[in-house]
Amino acid sequence: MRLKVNNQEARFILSAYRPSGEDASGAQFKAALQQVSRDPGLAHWFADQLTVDAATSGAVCSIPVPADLRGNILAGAKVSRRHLRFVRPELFAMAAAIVLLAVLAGFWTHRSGLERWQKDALAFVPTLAAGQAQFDHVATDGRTLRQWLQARNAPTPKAMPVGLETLPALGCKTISSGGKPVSIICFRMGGNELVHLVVTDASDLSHAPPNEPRFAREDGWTTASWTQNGQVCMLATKASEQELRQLLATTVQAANSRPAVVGEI
Amino acid sequence: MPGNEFEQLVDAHYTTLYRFAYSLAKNEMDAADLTQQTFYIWAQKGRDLRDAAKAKSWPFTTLYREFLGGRRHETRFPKVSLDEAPDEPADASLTAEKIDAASAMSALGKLDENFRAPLTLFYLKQFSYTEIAEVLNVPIGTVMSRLSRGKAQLRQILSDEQQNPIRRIIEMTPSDSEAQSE
Repeated sequence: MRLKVNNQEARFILSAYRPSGEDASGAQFKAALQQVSRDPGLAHWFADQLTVDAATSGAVCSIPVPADLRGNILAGAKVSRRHLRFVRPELFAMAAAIVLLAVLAGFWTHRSGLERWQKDALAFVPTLAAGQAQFDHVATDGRTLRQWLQARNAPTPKAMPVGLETLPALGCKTISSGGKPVSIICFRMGGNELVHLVVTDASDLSHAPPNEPRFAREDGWTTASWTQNGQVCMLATKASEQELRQLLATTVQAANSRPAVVGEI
Repeated sequence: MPGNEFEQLVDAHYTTLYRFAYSLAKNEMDAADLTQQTFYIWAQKGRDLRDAAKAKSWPFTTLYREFLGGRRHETRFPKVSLDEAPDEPADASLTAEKIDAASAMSALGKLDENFRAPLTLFYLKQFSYTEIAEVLNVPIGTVMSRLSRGKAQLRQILSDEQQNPIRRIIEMTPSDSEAQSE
């Protein structure tokens, strides 16, 4: 059944709408946005709210952080860890908890379809997109970023889907997931949407995705994962599955169903 | 947990956590304490760090609980019931270009606390309204209501400050001098 809302309800719902547009696909927001498109007065209110929200967001995210805070946190954690070495019952409890959680995490990961390297990358990406974590390297084309990663022996996509080649890049970052390096390259799609190519070595992974892209939705993300050339790759976006499929459209035309690739390094 | 992973988590979250803490505590020292305390708990309870999905909201939930825990012992801040909080007019005129970090934090600081936490999380851009509900442990409808009413109140405060900049300077002066004297 199609959801319909009046102006008052639309205002209420759209108060929770983020200026980045990430929420546009939600059913409530869709209904509210449709009402906006029907009513010029509401559209004026909404445009004004987006402007003020974006300005306030920018202001809040620019609040200066004390220069010594990071160092103090890390130093404090180091001292805490040293202390814990001498507290045997706590150490034992922590070890037991880690073992139990590793088992549970493995079970849960298996059920949900995404592996740990994927979940860790998806958890980190928003901090890059929001500017809270810095890219290792910034460039506007994917080829430069791949060369930069390769020069540092970081996981580098040996080949990229054709669709990504035409998109402007933002930067790249290599993170550690359970001690395994995972590289992320971020691209800008149409509008405000981003798409992220995540890559790591396929060896020692217990559940590598198949050679054909496997699509999944989790926690607001649409992902396509595949294995190629000894690497596991994932494309992730907050955009719809249809848009992600369009980005990989060359896949369908290729002889096999893997994403068509360009630019072997 | 390996030190490099912990460092990554610190890098990923400490600036946002500090800004959230600052909006709650309204001063640098308490905000830094709250942020460090959150990471201390995080380092001790390594279990939650293993779950990447939880890693995003867990520190914010923990920081908020720590803040509320500290406040339970204080009686000097009377709590205003949401039902009693007046609705502010939503159409106050406002120039978006004039909103800067100082005016935003000053205005957020004047909001009722029930509005301040969800609005700050909203403006930090990391969380959807459903995630904010999870962090603050309140129903989704309540979060939407607080965002709606909180934005109207914030807009009114920002508008007042833009129209009466002198008043803002005078209001800020005592706390600045208090901070210097500490």
